[in-house]
Amino acid sequence: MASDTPISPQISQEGGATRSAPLSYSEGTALSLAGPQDFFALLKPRVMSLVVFTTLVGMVAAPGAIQNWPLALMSLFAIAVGAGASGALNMWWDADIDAKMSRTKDRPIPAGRIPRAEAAAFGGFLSLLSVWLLALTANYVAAGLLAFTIFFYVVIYSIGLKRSTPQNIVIGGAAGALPPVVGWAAMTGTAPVEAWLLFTIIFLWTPPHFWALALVKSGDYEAADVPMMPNVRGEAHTRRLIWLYSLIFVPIAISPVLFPFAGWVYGGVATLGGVLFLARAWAVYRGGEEDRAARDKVAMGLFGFSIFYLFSLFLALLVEHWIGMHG
Amino acid sequence: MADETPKPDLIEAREGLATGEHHEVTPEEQKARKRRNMAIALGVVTFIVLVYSTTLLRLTQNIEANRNAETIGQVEIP
Repeated sequence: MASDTPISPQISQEGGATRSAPLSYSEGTALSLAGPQDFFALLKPRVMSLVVFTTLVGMVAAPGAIQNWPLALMSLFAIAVGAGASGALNMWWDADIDAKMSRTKDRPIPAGRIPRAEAAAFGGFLSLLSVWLLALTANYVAAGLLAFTIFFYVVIYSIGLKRSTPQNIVIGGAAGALPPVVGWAAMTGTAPVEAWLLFTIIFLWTPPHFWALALVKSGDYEAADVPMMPNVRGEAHTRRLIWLYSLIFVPIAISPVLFPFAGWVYGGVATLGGVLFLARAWAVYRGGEEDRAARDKVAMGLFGFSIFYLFSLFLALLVEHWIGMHG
Repeated sequence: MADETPKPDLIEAREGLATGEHHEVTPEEQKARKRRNMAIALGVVTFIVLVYSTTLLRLTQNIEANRNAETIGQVEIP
C-alpha cells in the first residue's frame, strides 16, 4: 500500500456522509464518553413505546387468541428493536438538521456524544438482528414486513422524502403505520384487510397530527431547510389540508366497527373522539385570523388531542379483546 | 477545515510501525468505557437467552403439533 495515499477523506467521511465536517486529528485520539443511555436515546424510546403499543394491539386483534405468550412477547421485543434501529439510522442521517432545531439539538449525535459512524453501525446491526430475530420467533411474512418498515422509514422517508417534498410526512407516515400490520402478521402469518385498516387509520392520522406541530414549529423547520407544508405552501393551505385530512380520517377511524375485530366500545370511543377531533381540526382551520399565540395554542390543542385520540382507539381495541368481547 | 495532509505517525500506524503516540485514559473515559462494556455484555446475554428460549419454545410447539397430528391420524385410520 502506498504510504502517500491521503487518509483524511476516510476520516472526514465518518458516518458515511460527505456532509459532515472533517474531524481534526486530535479529536480522533480521545476515547468516547458516551454511555449506554446515549445509545438508548438513539433508539427514540418514546416512538418505540408507541410502536410497541400499536404492534401489541395488532397482535391481540388478530383472529384467534395468542397461542404462545412467551413467543409473542419475544416477537414484540424484536419489533421494538427494529423500530429503535430505524430511529438510530434516522438520527444518523438527519444529524445535520437535528443540530439546527431546538427540539432535536440535544440528541446524542448533534450534542457530540456519539459519532455518526457509530450510530450508523449501531442502527444497521440492530436492524439486521431484529429482522432475523422476528423470523425466528414469528414467521417470514412478519420479518419481511419489519424489514420493509425499516427500509421505508430510513431510505424512502429520511433519505428520500424528508428534505425534498412537503408531502414528506404524508408518504412517510406509512412507516409509522405499519407496526400493527407487522404484529398481526407475527401472530397469523398473514396481513388481511383488517390489518391494513389499522394501517390506514394511523396513515391518515399522521398528516393532521404532524402539520399541527409544523404550524407551531415552522421556524425550526425553516432554519433546518426541511420543506414542511407550512413553509412551502403557507399556513392557510396547511390549515385547509388539516381539515380535509381530518374529514377523511375520522370516518375511517370509526369504520372498524363494520368488521368482527371491533365492537361497540371501540365504536363509542371512535365516534365521540372523532367528533372532538373534528371540532379541534375545524378550530385550526378557522383560526387563521387570530394572533400568533392563540393560533399556536389551537394547533397544539389538536396535536395533543390527536395523540390522545389514536391512543384511545387502540386502547379500546385492546380492552375489547382483553375482556373477551371477541371470543 | 482540518489539514488533509497525512500525519507521519498515522502513516506509520497504517504500516504497522510504532508511532510513539500515547493517550492517557482519563477516569471519565475509563468509567464510560466500562459502562459501555457492561451494556454490551448484558446485550449479548439477552441475545443468548432469547435465541435459546425461542429454540426450546419452537421445539416444544412443533413436537406437540406432530403429536396432535399423529393422534388425529390414529382416530381417522381405524
